Amino acid sequence: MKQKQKENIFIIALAGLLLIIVFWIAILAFSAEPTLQPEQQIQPTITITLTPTPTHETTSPPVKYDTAAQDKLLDKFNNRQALSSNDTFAKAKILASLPPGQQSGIVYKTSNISIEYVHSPDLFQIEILTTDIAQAKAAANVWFRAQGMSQRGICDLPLLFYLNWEIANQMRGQNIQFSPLGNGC
Amino acid sequence: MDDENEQGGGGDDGGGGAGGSSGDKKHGGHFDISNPLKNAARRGMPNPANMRANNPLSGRGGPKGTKRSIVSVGRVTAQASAAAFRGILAFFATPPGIVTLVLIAATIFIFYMLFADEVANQPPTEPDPAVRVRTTCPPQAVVGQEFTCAISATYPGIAKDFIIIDTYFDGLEYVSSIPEGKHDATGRKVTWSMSDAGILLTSPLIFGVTVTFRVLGSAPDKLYQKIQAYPVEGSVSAGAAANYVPANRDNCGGKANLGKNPLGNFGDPACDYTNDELYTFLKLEDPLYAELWYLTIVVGESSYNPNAWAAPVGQQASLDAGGAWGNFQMGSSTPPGTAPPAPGKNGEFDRGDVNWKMQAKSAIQYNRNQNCSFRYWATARSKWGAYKC
Repeated sequence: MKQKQKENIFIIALAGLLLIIVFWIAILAFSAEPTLQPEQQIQPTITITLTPTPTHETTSPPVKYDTAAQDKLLDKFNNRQALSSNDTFAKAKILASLPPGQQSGIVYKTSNISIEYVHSPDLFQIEILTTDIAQAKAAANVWFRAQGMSQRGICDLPLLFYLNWEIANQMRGQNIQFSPLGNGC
Repeated sequence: MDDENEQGGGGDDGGGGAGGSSGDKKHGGHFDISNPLKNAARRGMPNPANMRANNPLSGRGGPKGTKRSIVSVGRVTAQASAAAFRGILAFFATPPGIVTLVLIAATIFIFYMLFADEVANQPPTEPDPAVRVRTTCPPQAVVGQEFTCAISATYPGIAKDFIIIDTYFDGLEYVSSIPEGKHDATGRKVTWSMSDAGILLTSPLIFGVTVTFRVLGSAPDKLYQKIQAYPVEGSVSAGAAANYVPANRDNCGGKANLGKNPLGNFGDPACDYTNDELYTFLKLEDPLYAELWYLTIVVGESSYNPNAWAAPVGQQASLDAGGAWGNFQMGSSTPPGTAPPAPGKNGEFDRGDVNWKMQAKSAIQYNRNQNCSFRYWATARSKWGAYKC
């Protein structure tokens, strides 16, 4: 009888020990889980894996663009100056020349330049269709002035000049540095 | 018989269908759980240890027939196992056995309470391991509050369709989503199909949606802890991209500037390219650097011509034998114009000989793979290394 009681006690103790181990595992499992604090901002786990493509190649554009002028244009674009009322009116008049229902399009075109208003970036882009860059820029400037824009307003619009692809390729290898800004901007 | 034996025997009687037998009663109800063979011996069963001398496999001689001995060993083992099983059953009929059973049951119940909910809400396994799904949700939400999660999924290849299935938690009410997904209130699922949403299937496939829920009063207390582990899966439909349009000759009424490129109107086969559309697309795909792409890179690389092609002559020949293609002057497949995901010289995303949207997506991903250094584009030289993803 005593032997049996000892065995029973032993088995119950064993079961109790098992239970303690189970609780211990459960506590460990929960303590490993991050606790959310009310103000804590959890960084989302990024699961998109990116495979780096090692290359030291760079492109070879036909014409080198003036990086300082490019940075200045970016700055003008991102930190726009408010236009004067006269310049605002002149801009509205230019945009009114777009075909009905169109928010973007060509507002002026000659054999040397093509002036396009692009709605989403709110930008006038002038494509130069000649190798005579200075003359093309001057022609664009004259046209904007004729529309009632001030010189400062032309620079603050802002304007972006670029070379037509074929023209740029004609100038490839001539070591030309091209500025996307207008004359005097 | 002592009390324990009686209870053990009674237990066997009561549970006879579960393994008790008259033999158990006859030979007593006390079992040593740690030694089933001892129990078997008490029941008059042959002890395999005692049979060793007769077992030819033990190497000590024995009966002449080896086959017979093997059968004997097997029979003894089976009998011993049965005896052990009966012993265990008998033990669980005793008070300490019942206590142990209760403890085990309590342990199982506790485990169930602790983990069943988590197990039930485990995200489903992604059907295609190449599909990557990312969810961004607020860290917590309270009852009555609406919260919005952004879900983005990517797939490196190209497919007929790209589908996101969002199985949301019990205790949430679906409010809305952008683009509007198909809502199954019963199954608590919202499904978006890229082709149904009218989104161009490009390579890589990148699909982003937002979904808004309201927390109901019946929501589990720990709901806010689970939002981060949002169960969303993505899948793709096999096959080539349904919306991929191969290059054509000039099919846009003279609008396209094809130059001398050998593919024709590869950059704008759908005749939907405008500078306005390009900027809008860049703002959508890479809002942080859209201005840099538009005002600095595209303008100098291609003059906003999605059909721009720099022939492999002079310096360009040393860079890529296939020439440089498109708005971002990137590589081409071999031969040029092969449907994505055919790789270019520097991998899957070095593709400029595709339509203008694919050109933009490829350039953006290519740059991201280079940690947003912009080092591939000479026109962005002043920005090289200035940014990081």
